[in-house]
Amino acid sequence: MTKKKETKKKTIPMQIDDVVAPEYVVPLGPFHPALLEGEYFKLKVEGEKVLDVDLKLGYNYRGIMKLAEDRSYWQNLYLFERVCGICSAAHTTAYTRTVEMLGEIELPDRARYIRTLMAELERIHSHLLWAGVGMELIGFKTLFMLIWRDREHVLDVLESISGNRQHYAMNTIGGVRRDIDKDMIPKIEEKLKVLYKATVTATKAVLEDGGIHARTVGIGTLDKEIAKKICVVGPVARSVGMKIDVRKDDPYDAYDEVPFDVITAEDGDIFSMALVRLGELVESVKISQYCLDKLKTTSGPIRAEVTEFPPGEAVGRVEAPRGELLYYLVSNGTNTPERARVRTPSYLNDYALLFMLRGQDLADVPITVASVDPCMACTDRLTTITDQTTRTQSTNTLREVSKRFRMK
Amino acid sequence: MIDPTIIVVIFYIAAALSLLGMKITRANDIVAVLATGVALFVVIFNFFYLPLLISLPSLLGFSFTVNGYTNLIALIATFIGFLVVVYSIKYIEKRRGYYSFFVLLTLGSLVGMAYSWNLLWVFLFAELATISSAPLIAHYLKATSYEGALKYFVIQIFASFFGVVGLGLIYQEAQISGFAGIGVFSIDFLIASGLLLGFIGKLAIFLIFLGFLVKVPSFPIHTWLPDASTAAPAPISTLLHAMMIKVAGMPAFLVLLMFYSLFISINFWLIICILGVLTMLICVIIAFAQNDLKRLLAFDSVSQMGYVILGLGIGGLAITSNTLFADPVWLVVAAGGIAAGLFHLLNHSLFKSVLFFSAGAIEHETGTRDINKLGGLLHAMPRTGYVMLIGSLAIAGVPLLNGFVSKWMVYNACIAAGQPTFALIAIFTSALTFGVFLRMLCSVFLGHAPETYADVHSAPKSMVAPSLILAAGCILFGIFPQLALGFLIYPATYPLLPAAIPPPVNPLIWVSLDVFLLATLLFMGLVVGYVLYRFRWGVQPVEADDKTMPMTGGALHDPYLKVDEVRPSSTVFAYPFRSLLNSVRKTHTGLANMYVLWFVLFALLLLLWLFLGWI
Amino acid sequence: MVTLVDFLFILGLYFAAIGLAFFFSWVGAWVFRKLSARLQARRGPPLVQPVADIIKLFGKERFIPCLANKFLYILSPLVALSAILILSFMIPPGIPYWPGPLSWDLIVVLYFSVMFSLAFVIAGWASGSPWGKIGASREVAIILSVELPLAIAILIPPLALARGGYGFTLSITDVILAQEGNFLWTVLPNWFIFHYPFAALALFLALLTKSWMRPFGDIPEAEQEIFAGPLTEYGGPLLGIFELARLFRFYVFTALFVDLYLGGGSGLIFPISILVFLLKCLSITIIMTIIHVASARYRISHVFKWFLTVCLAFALISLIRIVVGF
Repeated sequence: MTKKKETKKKTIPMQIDDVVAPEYVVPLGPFHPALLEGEYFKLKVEGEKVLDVDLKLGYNYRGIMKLAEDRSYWQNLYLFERVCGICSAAHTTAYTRTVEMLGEIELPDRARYIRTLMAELERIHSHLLWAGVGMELIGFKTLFMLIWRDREHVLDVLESISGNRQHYAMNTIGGVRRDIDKDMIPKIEEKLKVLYKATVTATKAVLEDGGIHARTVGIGTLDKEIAKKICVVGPVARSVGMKIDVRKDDPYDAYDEVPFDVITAEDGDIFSMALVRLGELVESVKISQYCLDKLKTTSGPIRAEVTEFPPGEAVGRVEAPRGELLYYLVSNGTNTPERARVRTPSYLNDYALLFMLRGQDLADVPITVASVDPCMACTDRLTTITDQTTRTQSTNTLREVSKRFRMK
Repeated sequence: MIDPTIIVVIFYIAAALSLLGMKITRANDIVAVLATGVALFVVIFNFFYLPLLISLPSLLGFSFTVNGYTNLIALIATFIGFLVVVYSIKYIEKRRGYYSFFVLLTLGSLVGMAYSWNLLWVFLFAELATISSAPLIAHYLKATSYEGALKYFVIQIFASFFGVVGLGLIYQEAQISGFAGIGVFSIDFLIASGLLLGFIGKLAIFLIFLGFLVKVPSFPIHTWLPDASTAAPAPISTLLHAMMIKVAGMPAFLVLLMFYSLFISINFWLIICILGVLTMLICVIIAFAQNDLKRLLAFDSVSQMGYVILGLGIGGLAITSNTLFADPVWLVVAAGGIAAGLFHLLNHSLFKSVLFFSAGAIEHETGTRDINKLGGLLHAMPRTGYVMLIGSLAIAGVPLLNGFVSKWMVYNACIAAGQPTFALIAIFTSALTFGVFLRMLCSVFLGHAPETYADVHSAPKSMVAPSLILAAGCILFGIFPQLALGFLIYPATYPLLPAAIPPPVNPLIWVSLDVFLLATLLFMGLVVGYVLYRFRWGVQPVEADDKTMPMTGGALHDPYLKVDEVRPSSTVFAYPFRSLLNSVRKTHTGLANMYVLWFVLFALLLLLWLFLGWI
Repeated sequence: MVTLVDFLFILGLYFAAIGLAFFFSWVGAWVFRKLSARLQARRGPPLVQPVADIIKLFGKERFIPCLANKFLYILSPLVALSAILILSFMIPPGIPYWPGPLSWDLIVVLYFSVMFSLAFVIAGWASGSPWGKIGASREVAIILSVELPLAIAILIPPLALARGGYGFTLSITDVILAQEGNFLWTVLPNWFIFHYPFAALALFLALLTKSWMRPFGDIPEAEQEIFAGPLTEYGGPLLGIFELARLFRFYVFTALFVDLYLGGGSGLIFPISILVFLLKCLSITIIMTIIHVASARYRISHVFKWFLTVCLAFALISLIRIVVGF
């Protein structure tokens, strides 16, 4: 039988004060060097230790889901590409996949490989960008510069394929819009080799540098139970040991035939998140190489014929660089969707920050925030305002929102 | 030359008068200010007769001596006493009749103690000062003030027990030789007659040393001071810190230095130095975490007294080394060490009274002493703020202020005496002091004021003027240290050095530090900077006036974050010492019994050492 | 006492020293920026850039933020500049006969280096920004942790001299003079870095931190965490004065190291000795730059751990050698 002993507290008046710091609030945002987009963290801090976090979003709200209801399926292609600048290929892939499920459209082989190639190249660019930003946030400017120098190679590849460094506009409903020439492939392969080398170097630096270890190991640890409860996805989920990846679980495009590993780590701290992403870089280079090899041999059309969008609803998901990206579309038989819903990975991952930031040093807040690779533009949603006194709810209409932000 | 007996008598008569006119506050003030003013005048007047070095057979048999040393100590006592009395006029408005009485009684006893050249009189005046200052500590008649006063009283009385035993031993020695009367205890007589050369004499002097060491206070027995000064009203805290611990504490080192021939042992003086180093280091670390303004200042006082102990200890070490090795270099080192200790003593009484006066003004105006609650007071109380800035920077040892020069002299004395470790610890302590006071300054005066203190206004003039005078003194002695050294400090070192040692006549021999040139060049740098700043003449600086803008996240109405929430606390400074502090904190229980036990253990340890013949 | 002629002479030397320090810091700052750019695969700025940046700031509007205390806000950059100018006069440019060390010893140098940092602390709190305050408290933490190793390492050469029979001295002049000649069968120059390598290392680390170099130095102004730290609210001429004061770090801190541990320009005739001294300073700058570029920024708690254990141990090894005497 365990009986809790009530320990009597000494009531002797101590002569010396204890080191207690009164709590105060540190504003992180809405504009801050550590944050790439507008967001506002209210950090309740004791000394330099974060006790509590409050997050305010809504600085980038654009009403895209509402806008999608006014546009045709073809126009929406360009709208959804602009949800996120970094994962534009993932968004269009997810959108087209959903539309193709609605219209039951079969993709030609060549289009499947090109889409996979684009998705993986984008993943390489996104992860390299993340690694560079992460290095900068722990003050390792040199590695940031070097990683971003290497990232230029993948941007060159993307530009040579699509003509753009971002917003590739490659995907279209039923296939892709541009083909990859036979003589372009060796050049891309050359660049991939450089990228592979760069990735290996970056991994080695992260694994060996004492400074990076001191700033990342054991910092911003995400508990596995909490991670499951708030449904984190993508590299964040994989870093706590959850082996989930849409590419394996629900293969799309060419992923059912590509051999690749799902990289996981166990600790859930920033170091393991870095390891997962760096491991994925290597896998992505391999997948790209596989797609290029296949493109050399396959031939045929790059897009299928699309005629109509029958009424119904569909859910399509892909693995964006940040995790599972989910699109939900309702069609009423016309050429505009009845309802479009986008659930971006950051929408789930950002809330892990509220748990990860607690108990951190103030100095670790930027790298912890960056560790989930947050994308605020994707996360901002419609605001519902509840008046505390009258208990009435009001919603900002699109007109009001646009008026408010155009005034400024 | 005016007989210092007059001062003591004036003080006692004034005390009696204020007891008579208890109800008439204004009359009390006038009497007190007049008495202290006259006393101050007499002491300053006596400085012009210093080379005479007269011991006066006094009317009352007080056996006073006017020499550089006693006059310096008396100057500290009367000068700070005068300012304390002026400060009290506004600070303690609802006074009880006995306030003036006890203040004057304490001051009179302290001046008597300063001039006494007779161990018995020193002891008696010290007891009188203790007894008459205890009611002042309990002035507020609250539980905490009773506790502080009681703690003060118990520990002091316990310490004076050692003094009584010491004096008894001396008397016993004297009777053997066939002498009787008070004259036996005269320091000059004791030295000349060679009564104390035996072990009993050594023990007696050592016991007297222990008895007065409590009043300095030194490290393991420093605990009464913070409690007493936190409980007392601000002028009384100033009185305690700026003069009482010096006037009542210095006899400890006076006896050691006068009877240096009893302690011809490097080890003994090393122990004194280590005591000083421990005092400064441990207490400054404790001061780091204090949130109570006065307690922070109190612990820092103890830490600063460590410099004095170290300086005087180095002086004793050098005298001993001179006796042992007969190298004249040691004489210069001895003079330097003692001068450094005394100069720091003087400086500490200047800047610590600035700080306590200002702390009192802050408490008077805002009603709190918690430095975490205060903030941005520089706007509301500019004079107090800048004065406290000067005091803090002086105590932290920033160049061009007096603290720097005396600390510099202590370091130099340590290194010259071949004890660089002490100098390095002292430098580190100085850096920690700097941290302590930056923390205090930043959170009390800088930043923006919380809404609760929006309508705080400046303190009354009689409360600001004393600290202004003292701050001016800090700057004066900082830029022209030769003034203080030449007129006050070097005359004071003569009587403390054995007659065989010729004191350095020119104070510049020791101060090779050219502070005036430094000040000129520093000022020139400021001018260069200001010219660069005003490069585009005629363009006035733009001042933002909307205080609601910062940190609102762009929303002016219903901001997500208000400015008042964003008040970083300066306790961050203390975090690295947290674990160390917690272990120290457990020992400072606040119980008088424990503290007496510490004292007994400490005394027993040293006595054991003495009996074993190690020192 | 100093006569008027002496005083004017010293004043002349003061401005000469400032001029030398300024031009050298200019070159040092350019080397720092160019080298770090090349190591980071960038092109790097032209030679005029470090000074052009500062001159640009002096042409800007003077602005005083609403939460700032005006007097201290303006005073603290001036104090920083003034302190570093005096430091550049106190530390001789490699030649032993220099008026600075005659009047002031190494303890004054130590105190002025603290005063220089003090200006930043006061600036941070006086500007009223929370970022300034956090930066200032980090600056204090760095001062406190660096102070002890720094003090020991600075005082080791004179202490070693006192132990070696030179008598009591705390002057840089004596330290420079003592480093002439060779030792160890005339193989090595008689520099203190060879006698007390650990103390030299401790001093190097402390000065690296004092001159805002990574891995520890730029914690108070970590831009990704707290914007510019103490200088967040500064702009225009006042920021220009701060930047000017910070420019001098490329001379002052390297010169201190070279004078104390690398022999200054000792043993050589006058103009050559200054040239050799400047080359030594430049090489120290280059080493500092490489360390700065090749490391991540640590946390403030790491600074305490490093400086009060490892770095202090380095300094103590040498101190114990001196105290014990072998």
